[in-house]
Amino acid sequence: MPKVKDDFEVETWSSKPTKGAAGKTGLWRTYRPIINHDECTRCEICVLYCPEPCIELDEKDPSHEKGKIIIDYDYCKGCGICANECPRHCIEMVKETEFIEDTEEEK
Amino acid sequence: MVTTKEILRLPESVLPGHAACAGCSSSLGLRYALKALGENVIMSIPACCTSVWQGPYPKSSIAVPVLNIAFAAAASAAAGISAALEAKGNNDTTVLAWAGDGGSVDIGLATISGAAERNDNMIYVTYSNESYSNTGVQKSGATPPGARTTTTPNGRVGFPKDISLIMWTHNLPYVATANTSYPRDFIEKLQKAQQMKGFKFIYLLAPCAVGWRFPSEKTIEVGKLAVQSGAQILWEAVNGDIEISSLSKKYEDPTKRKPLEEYLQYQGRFRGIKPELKQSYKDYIDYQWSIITSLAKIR
Amino acid sequence: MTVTNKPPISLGHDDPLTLIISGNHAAAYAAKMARVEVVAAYPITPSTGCIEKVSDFVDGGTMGAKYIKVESEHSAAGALIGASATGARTFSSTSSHGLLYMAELVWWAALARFPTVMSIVNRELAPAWSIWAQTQDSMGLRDSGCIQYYCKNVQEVFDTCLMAYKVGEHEHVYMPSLVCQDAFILSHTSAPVDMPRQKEVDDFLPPYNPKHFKLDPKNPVTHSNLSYPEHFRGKRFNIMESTYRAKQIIKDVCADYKKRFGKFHGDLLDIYGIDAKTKHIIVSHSSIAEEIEVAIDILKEKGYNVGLIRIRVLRPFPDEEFRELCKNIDTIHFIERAPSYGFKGVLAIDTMAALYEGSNHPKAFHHIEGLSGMDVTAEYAADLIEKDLETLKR
Repeated sequence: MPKVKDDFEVETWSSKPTKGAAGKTGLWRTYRPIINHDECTRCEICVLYCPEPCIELDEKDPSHEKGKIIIDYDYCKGCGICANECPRHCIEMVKETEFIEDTEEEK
Repeated sequence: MVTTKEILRLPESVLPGHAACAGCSSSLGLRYALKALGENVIMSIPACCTSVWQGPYPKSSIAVPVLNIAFAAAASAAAGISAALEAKGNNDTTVLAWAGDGGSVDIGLATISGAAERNDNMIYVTYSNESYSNTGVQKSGATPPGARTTTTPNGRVGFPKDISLIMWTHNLPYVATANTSYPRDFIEKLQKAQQMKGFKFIYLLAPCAVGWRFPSEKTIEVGKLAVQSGAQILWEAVNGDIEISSLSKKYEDPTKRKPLEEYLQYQGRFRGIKPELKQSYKDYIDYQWSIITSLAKIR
Repeated sequence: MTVTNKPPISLGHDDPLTLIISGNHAAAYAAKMARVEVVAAYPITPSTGCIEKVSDFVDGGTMGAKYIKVESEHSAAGALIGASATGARTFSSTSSHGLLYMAELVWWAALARFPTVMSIVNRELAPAWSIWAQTQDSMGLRDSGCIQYYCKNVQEVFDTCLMAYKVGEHEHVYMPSLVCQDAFILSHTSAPVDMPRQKEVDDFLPPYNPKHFKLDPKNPVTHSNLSYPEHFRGKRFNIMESTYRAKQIIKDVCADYKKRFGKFHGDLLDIYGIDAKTKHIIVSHSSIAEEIEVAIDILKEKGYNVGLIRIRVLRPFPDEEFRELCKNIDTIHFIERAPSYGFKGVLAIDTMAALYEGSNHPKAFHHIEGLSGMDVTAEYAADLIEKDLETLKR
């Protein structure tokens, strides 16, 4: 007869909400969105349409009176919606391989 | 009238780093839905793309309580949740059933119809990528004419089912159609539904870059073309009185619609579409418009 | 948020009550007295009487449950799962094809650990269409871990439904339960049922308050998203442990019920006529077993040392109890309704597996009787056993 544990608890499938549930999905990218902050009017259309969402307006950033659009590259999958929808066309999709500092860090 | 800036200030209950495909409009759609409805929500999600992109146990990307359930049971599980909340005297929590087109139009049709007929208190959103995307893009009851799926390699023959019209015949307090490319319209419709008691239904067209075979960056553009070509009609019905939404109003006039070819041009699922199937799709669009405009006259 | 959490009303039981009612109605009264919060049910012969009675109670204002008149049994189970996950006590009733139609969700409820109690009227499966008694509808689901009780009379149906809530909602268990009764023989036959005061039932059965899981916007969790293989061992073995612990919990609850209400129908097993001299044991179930009690008397008068074990709880299977009772017997005789096609009767398979690990392996005789509700009379059963024992003499 198995030992009866006093601290036995029934377990069921409870998952906790968390960022990065599927890991660092930024690793999926082949293209990375790069914002030209000089052209950007902070209209936030990119923030509106991001499916992740991993782009937001940091209102406190001092670089501009309206703040700065920040992309969380840990999770950005590089879908390109932000670049396609930007009314000022100031987001460019750049190949990941252009970002040498990442590959160097791996060495 | 909710503005873009107001939408952006609403809470985010879809957390980044989920397992949806890059550019997935269903994750975008749920992001809007939970912004609209707030955090006092319980969700019922059947087998569909969303049940997978939430991410694996023990983590989840959705920051409201979620009951995942079997394929056909979204509406019945939501009915149970709703009854339990009522039994406990809770009149504030919103029950949101969030199902794909498969789980609503095909295997879940009896269930959704039953819950609608009973006017069970919930908001039911069918987000439609017009196929069984989760299992590899097979044909569903919502697949449009001519679309190539893994079970219709020569293009789908025949008209799809219109679940919004089926729901409209159930005498519901609220029925509407929406599109992930038009977040303001979708959010306003949800917030309107949230104020009502009973079974509220919204059909959300959610273009699928992987299933429809277009570049992921075009997701919003393709969604807009669906409305601009008249392929999707945005409408809402409060207590059965159909009103065509302002975004679709001008397309009542067929001459104002963008040519269907413009909508189909990016979508690999329509590449090489047989002329008779393309004509069938055009006929279907005209047919839908004539039904909606006729029904809109009923008061 | 205006959450009152008041248990639903149950009127008409200020004093103890004895009513002459059918098995269907007995289950309905038990659900009412258990202060069930959500009922979701679909009619199927012969369990319709139960859900109609619940409808009478709810519409008549004596039972405060929310009653969802679902459009199929699958949706009934779906609604029970949704409600149970939200912390509500739930109830339904079905039979035969209705139970099979909701089978994927009965499994879901068990694997999810969402308790509920369903009154199952055991009815034959088609083809051909039959409305009479057969236990394969519920026995076919025994692998799911659902706790399964098989009742021999109407009083037992009432008592078992109440006890099933206490067992299934125990903090070490959290499993759905099927309380089974034979079609027409119990579901439609009226007999006196003694019911206690509502206050006494409330004392025995407090409101459902799950500790393991609840859908609550104040503490959002996601239930049952995709999971990789490494997580399953722990969760599934947790079910094994819970169902194992349920055996002692069932014994404790039955003993407690006997003390409070004076009713006892056996706990895991119901024994009749077994003493130190017993050499031959008959194993049976449901209403056939009550007939076989008379057969035992007939055989004892003829000088046979026979006794009866009625399997009252099929899952969790009382294997240790069987090994203990069968330590010194020569033969074991199975008289049961349910064949497991491709092998032997369900009770025989499970019992022989239990006895294999014991020191004594009595000779086994197998009888599939009473298929699709045919009567198994005491005389007929006694005759079967006599013939079995004759073969030993040769």
